[in-house]
Amino acid sequence: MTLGYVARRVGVFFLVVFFAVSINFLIPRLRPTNPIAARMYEFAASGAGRAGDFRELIAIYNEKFGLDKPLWQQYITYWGDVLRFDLGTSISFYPGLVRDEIMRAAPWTIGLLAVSTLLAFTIGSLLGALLAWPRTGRVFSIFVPLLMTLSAIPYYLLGLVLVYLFALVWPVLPSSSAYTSGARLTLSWPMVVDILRHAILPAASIILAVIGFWGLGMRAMMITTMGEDYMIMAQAKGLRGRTIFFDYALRNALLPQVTGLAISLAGIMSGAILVEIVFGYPGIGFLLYRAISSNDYFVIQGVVFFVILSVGLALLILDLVYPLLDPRIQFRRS
Amino acid sequence: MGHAIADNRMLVAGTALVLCVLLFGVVGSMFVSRARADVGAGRPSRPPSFEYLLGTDQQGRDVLANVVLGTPATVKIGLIAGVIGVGAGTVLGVLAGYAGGVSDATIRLVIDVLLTIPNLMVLVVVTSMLTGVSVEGMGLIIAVLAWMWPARTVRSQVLSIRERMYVQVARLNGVSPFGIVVRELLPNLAPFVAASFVGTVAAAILASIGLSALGLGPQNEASLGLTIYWAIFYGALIRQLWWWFLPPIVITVVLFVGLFMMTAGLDRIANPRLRTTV
Amino acid sequence: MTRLTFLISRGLKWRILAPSLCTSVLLAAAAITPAAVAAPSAAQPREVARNDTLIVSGFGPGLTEIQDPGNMNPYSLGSLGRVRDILNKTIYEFLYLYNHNTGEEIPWLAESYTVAPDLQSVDVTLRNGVEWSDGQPFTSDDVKFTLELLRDTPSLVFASDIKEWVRDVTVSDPQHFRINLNKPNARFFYFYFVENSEIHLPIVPRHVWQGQDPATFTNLDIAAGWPVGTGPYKLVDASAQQQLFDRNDNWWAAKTGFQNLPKPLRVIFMQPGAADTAAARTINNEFDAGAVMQPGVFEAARARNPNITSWNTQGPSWGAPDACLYTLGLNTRWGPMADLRVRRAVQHSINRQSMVDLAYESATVPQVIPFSTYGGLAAYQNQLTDLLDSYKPDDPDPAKVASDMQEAGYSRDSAGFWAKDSARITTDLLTPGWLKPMGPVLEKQLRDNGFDVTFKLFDPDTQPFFDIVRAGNANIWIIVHCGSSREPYGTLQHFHSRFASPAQGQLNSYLWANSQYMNPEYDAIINQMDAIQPSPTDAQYMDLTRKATNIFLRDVVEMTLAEERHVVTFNNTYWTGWMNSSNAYAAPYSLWAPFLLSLLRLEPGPGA
Repeated sequence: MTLGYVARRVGVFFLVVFFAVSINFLIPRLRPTNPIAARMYEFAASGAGRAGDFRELIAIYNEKFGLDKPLWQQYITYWGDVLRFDLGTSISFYPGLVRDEIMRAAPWTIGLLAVSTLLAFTIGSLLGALLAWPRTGRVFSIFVPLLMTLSAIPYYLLGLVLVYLFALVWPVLPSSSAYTSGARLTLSWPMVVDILRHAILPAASIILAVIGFWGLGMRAMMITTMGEDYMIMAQAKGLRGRTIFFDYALRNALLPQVTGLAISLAGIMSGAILVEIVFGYPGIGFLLYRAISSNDYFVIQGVVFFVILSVGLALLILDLVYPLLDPRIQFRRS
Repeated sequence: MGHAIADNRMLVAGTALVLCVLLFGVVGSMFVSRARADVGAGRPSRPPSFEYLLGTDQQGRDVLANVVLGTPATVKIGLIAGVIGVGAGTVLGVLAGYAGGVSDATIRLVIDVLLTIPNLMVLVVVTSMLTGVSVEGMGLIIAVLAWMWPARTVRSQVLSIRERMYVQVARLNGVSPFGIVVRELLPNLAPFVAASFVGTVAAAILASIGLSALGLGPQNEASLGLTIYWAIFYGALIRQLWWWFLPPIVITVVLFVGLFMMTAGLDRIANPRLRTTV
Repeated sequence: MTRLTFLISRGLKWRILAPSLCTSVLLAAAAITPAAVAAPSAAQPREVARNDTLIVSGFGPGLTEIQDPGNMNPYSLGSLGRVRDILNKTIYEFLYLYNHNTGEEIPWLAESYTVAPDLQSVDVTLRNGVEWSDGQPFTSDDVKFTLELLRDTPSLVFASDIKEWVRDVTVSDPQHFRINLNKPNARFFYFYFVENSEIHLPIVPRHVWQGQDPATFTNLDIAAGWPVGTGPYKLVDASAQQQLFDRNDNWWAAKTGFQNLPKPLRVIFMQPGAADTAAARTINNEFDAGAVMQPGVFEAARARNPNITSWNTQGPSWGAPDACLYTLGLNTRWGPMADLRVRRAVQHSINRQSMVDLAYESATVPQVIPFSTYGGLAAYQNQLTDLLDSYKPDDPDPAKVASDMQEAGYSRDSAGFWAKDSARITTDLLTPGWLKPMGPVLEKQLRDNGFDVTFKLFDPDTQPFFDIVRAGNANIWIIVHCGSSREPYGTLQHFHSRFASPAQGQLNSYLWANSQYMNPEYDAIINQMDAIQPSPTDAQYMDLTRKATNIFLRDVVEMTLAEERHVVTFNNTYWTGWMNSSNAYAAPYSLWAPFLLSLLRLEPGPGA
């Protein structure tokens, strides 16, 4: 891993951050809508009908939230806030902090996403490898078309179908949210079980949608690997089937899969957002959806920034770690 | 090349599925009257019957008519985004790969940065800011974030083709760079561009259905995502009005499986090594 | 193509499996951490059994988590949501409560009030024995403090209203005070202190609030007993997931014998989540009250759990009115709708019953004048039936559409749309997000009758909708019209020219009064109504009502379509005694202060 490689990857990361911040700043201003006024109209629409005109109120909060200054000045102020990790005050939750809300929602998304992706990756890769291995039983070959179909279905449609089948037609699993309402969030065993039970369907949506991608990709990589000379060498050496499978074929085929993981990270994040909305799972995706529905611009900005930053950081780490896993990369020119 | 395509069962099967959906939508639209897909065409929420083969939705629309008319709109968005995305991507990819230097570095940087952005999230935020998106408008918006993958693929292909013998020969013969691009590069890029195109269209249709299902898409024209939106709005799931929300899902799945198989098939043509596999 | 080189990898599978296993365990733990990071409260609330607990959902569908659990200020930005969601049934009580169904004014913290003959002041007598939760007496000084605080702090919600109307408050003794108004207003006390459905003005304790900055004061300190109110419950825990209130056994009303202590020992509030979530949780007995459902969803939920009820005992209209009416707004001053004959034609194009059937699952009733069906209004509406019969506002008839339009000089062009001098009427039907179902239905009805109308949705951001409509730049739009929950004047007043824009392009003065109607004859009627108290038996009031209604119907100032009703649900598994159409002691909306009356009447149900 050369210094140039590291420098470039880190440089890309910083550019991503810069882009994210700028995009974030611009997006709410696509409309000439004043965020405070939008929030006031929210109240009005939800029944505070006779509360008269809000113009004075709007002017006061405009000043407080800095919305009456010229655009470039707002941009500079925004950068200042971002560098101090001050993601602003939410309009809905004044004087609550956007950062707090994101920190509340983030663990749910990280938990759901990470576990689902890892499970899908592991199971998918193993399944794909088995499918390519000539000595696997014929019964497994049914999985190829199955995986293809599953990987073609969008996450949220899969989520809807799963809810319909397993929560409504045969009500065995809860259809929404992360835990039974009314229960206190404590670290007790029944609570953990409850959380896991609520996570099964959302996780299943993500896993089933993504598993095909890993499985079929792994199968293709295995097939290529199996054509290599060292595989014949391993067989000639008389090594056991299982050893050849794991240590020679799988090991080499797995590494490009990791690259695949990096590439699809942004896509999985997008899909997870929709899954959260379908299931009302209280993570970042649902927080974004709520903020959009209630025109809370600060929360929208905070979430978009957080997500882009996280994905960018994850990719950076993967890019830096991958060459360590596969020393062959060092000898390849970019 | 012809043999390769005929032998390629994936590509054939995939194309067949996609064609089925397109026929259903485009040809079906000619036989279905618009009035039946309008509100109030029939009594609300009736299960399938002879008169309404897929029943009616809560606002009285004939579900079959609605879904038939909605399919072309959905596919259209995908095509618009696909054509613009792949078109722009190919141009930028060729530029980056062939010209090299600063333009290559800049384009690569932009691609890398934009690829880390979960595009559906940005699309959701952007479309929610706009009042009223048309079918064409949606295609355009999706296209903005759809060109990166094609650009990347094309660029890496151009890099490898550029060093091939026949290109060197052409250069020595004094053919202009533009001539080389058109006569040597593009024909060899064709299978990759085709595979990219199908993939991009699939991703665009996915994005458009997702946005419409959230209520953020075009409101005034029938589309598969909008049908799903109204189905969720009126609680079709819990009311078990399966004839309402299953058809758009089934059509989407068939379409996607077809597109997926087409991509896999085209990948094999582009990458002959894969052809020797089972 | 480089060849894949050979790699010896004995035992290397562990290098991959082991870390991935560890990572997945760690990440699974991350999935559970929200339980651990949930904000701990000062003291863990005690255990209360489920069947002593009442779980109320927010008015949904909507959010999954409580918006800003750290703020209990009833007047800072965002506070109206807080007051209506949780504070108005637990912590704060009001001078009066109101039964929308009958129009009965229920004295609560106050015993009586008298509006002065010149309508510029209100004398109020408070009940004896009212105490704050910290034991301090509730007196006129607290009222004076609250109102003058609102008058003097412009950044508070309702501050501009109070500043406009209230000059000051004079206290004669702890139980008697007088509110002095800037200008005469016969209904001031009713709007701001009696109805308590949309406007709520909780009185805050002077001894706690004095010295605090009212705009940033969070009013939350559980150890200190804040928020301090007079209500039967006190806050014991507030997190993003839920807010817990435990019964205050020292409640003043129980001590003085005014009311009995409510049976639920604990009330928990949480948000309903998406529509499916709210329904699913109610079916599971996770919610006892509050979740709003679509009519069809309610029927499906009831089929799964027969303990779920709503307002009406029979369908298809299960829901309760909320004093608002679905309305088709028409621009009476600018654009094609300014012509009365065109407005009449539009009226003849709309089939209200069909709209109700297709947009709202037949779960409400068509209405032609902007009065709700609340009992108190029946007495007025019964005296107007002859006007309705003569004008026939609900009479969809294509032949009449044609004759109206032809009279106005229009004829059908080649595409079948109405046009005059080759200029077709082409316009957008502006629709705000929450009224979406009516959009496609009304668009179709109008198009079928020759109006080239396209429905344009504003969702989720409705501000552009209001900007266009309020500036007189819209021709036709869908909106709700609220106000007549006890008297016709409530909505009829909004057609006074004082609510119209001074010129096209300029915003009008009130969010919901957009017809731009200007008629001096009408203004004169409303001016007179301003100055008198409402009563169906008062001859002068009824005469003015008839005159105003007559003009409203004659000039088609706006088109009232149907009553807005919501299917609010109750789950009788754990608690029973909820209000419904046969036991109509209060309106069933958990957002409205009179909901407190149901808390006081609940009895334990059969249990899960």
